[in-house]
Amino acid sequence: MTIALATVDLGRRYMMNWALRNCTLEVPEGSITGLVGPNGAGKSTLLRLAAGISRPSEGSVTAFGQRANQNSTAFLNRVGYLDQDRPLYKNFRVEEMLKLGQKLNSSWDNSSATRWLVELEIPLDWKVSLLSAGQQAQVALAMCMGKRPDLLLLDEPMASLDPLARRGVKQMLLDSVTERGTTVLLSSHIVDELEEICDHLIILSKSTVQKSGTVESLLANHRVLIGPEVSARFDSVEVIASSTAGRQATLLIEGDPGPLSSEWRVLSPDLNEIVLGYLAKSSATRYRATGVRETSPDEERS
Amino acid sequence: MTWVTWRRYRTRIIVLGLFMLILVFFMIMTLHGYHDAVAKCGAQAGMSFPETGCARTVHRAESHANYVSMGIGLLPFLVGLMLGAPLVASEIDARTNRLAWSQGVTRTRWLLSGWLTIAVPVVIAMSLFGIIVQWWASHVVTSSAFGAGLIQNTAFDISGVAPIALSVLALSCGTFFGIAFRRFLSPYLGTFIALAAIVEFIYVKVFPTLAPRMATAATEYGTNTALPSALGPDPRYVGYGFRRSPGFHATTSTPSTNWIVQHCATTTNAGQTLPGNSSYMRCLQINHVQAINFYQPESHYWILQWREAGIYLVLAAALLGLSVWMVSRWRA
Repeated sequence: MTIALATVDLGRRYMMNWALRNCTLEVPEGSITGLVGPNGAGKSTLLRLAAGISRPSEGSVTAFGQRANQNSTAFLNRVGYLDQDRPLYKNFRVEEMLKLGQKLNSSWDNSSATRWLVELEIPLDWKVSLLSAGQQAQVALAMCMGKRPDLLLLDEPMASLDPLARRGVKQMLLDSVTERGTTVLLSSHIVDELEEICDHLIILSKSTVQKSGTVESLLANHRVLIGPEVSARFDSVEVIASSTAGRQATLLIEGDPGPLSSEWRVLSPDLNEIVLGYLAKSSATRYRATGVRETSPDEERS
Repeated sequence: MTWVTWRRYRTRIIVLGLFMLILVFFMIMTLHGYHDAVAKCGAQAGMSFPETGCARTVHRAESHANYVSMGIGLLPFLVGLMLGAPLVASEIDARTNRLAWSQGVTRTRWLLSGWLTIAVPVVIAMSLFGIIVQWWASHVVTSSAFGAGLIQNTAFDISGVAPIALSVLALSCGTFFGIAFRRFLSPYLGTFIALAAIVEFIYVKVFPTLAPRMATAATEYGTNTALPSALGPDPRYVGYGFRRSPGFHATTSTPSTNWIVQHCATTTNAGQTLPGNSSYMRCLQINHVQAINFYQPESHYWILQWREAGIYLVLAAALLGLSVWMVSRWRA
């Protein structure tokens, strides 16, 4: 397996606060990797560091074995980055934005970028400032795709898109991976959306990586156990998160719990439950939802 | 990259070009008006007191020329404010730097190409404009009732090669201060303050000694009874100083020149050490100290112009280098 993007102990500090810390991960070449986590988890920071837009405070980040470096044309040509703010020159016409892409990128594919926008019925002779937020997002995405990068870093690409446009973007990403072997790392809040297209997932919370792996292995290695609270003790598996409702306990575990008594039910979790479990595990805050008390394993042990 | 910068700045460049054309129009108008006034009344009419109708006519023509001079003097500042300051600062504010820096050009190339794309037309435009200004200044400013030459303050600052170099410095200054202090100060205000400070420093501290200055003894109130012919017509006064009177040999017990100057200023209530009232000047004379005035003759005009331009260009290169360094290390 060739690694497209690798980080080792990557960290980025803003003044006294760490936006990302001890981040070590690998993104395989040709994969679509989802980056999921709550607001402030460090997703955008990680993507900016990977694009070389930002510089690490500690650790390293490499793309295709090359250090993320804004002063290397070779690096810049291979990496495409879509910022979450969708920065565009507002007084440019759409066609001028595409011309900008053409002028600044040696491998620019103008015909497919133009075709993509025409198919979405975005008027090419309109000024960017006159477009809706969704249309601007599409132009920004076209700028990114037109570059034909080997590694695509997309910060919430589906945000502000309507369901139809989301489907179109997903299809475009899948096509790009199939046809060109592009590696995609994209962040999103919506796990269901990621499950549809991603083959790898990275769960980021509290500025650190909580879990990463293939979607397949994550689904295969996790279980939801439902049973009596009094006997909710498992030493052979890692309890990711647990909740109690009355006398009933619900646990998300990683690993095989082995044979269980008949009072326990074993279910396969979906990706959403796994992500929420890891986010609850990392969260220091406790929250209540209609009679269900969420607890972390640390609290459970005490 | 050239196209991108041109597309971003074309409106501002056109506005600056229009401003130049307006100035050319007013230069022609003031030249015409001034020549009419002088032809009607004579150049010396402007110096008559009390002010006659003719004096008012010449004065009005002169003040119109002064307004045009101020407009010409503003041009380098406008280059810094309209083109230099937003070059990087506006990108960072709009976060379009994240778009630009993720394209296939390095940050260094991005900044240098952008800077050059603006600097080249600015230099060409300022050079062409400078030829017109030179012609206008030599006809209006230098033939005014005050008999000033091109080396005098106003004419010198707007003519020659120095304003072209100052425009380049303004561009670099705007670029640098747009990055360096954008968190604390508006890039526009920062550029204006920095540029004004540099120009003032050059004017006060550097210009007087930029070429060997000539000294001549001052009499009462700092005037010279007769300027030596070596100074030529209309030399530019650049300051004053004090020296031992010719032929006087100081001993170890003789007080220093500075002490005598201070002593005389205090004992005669002169208030300041500027060559001034007769008792102060007499005191200096008794103590064998001579007040002197410094001048830059008209013949030094081009030497001063090129040297001042050289300083501006060195500063411009240094600020551009710093800007490149800062942008390459910028953490978005």
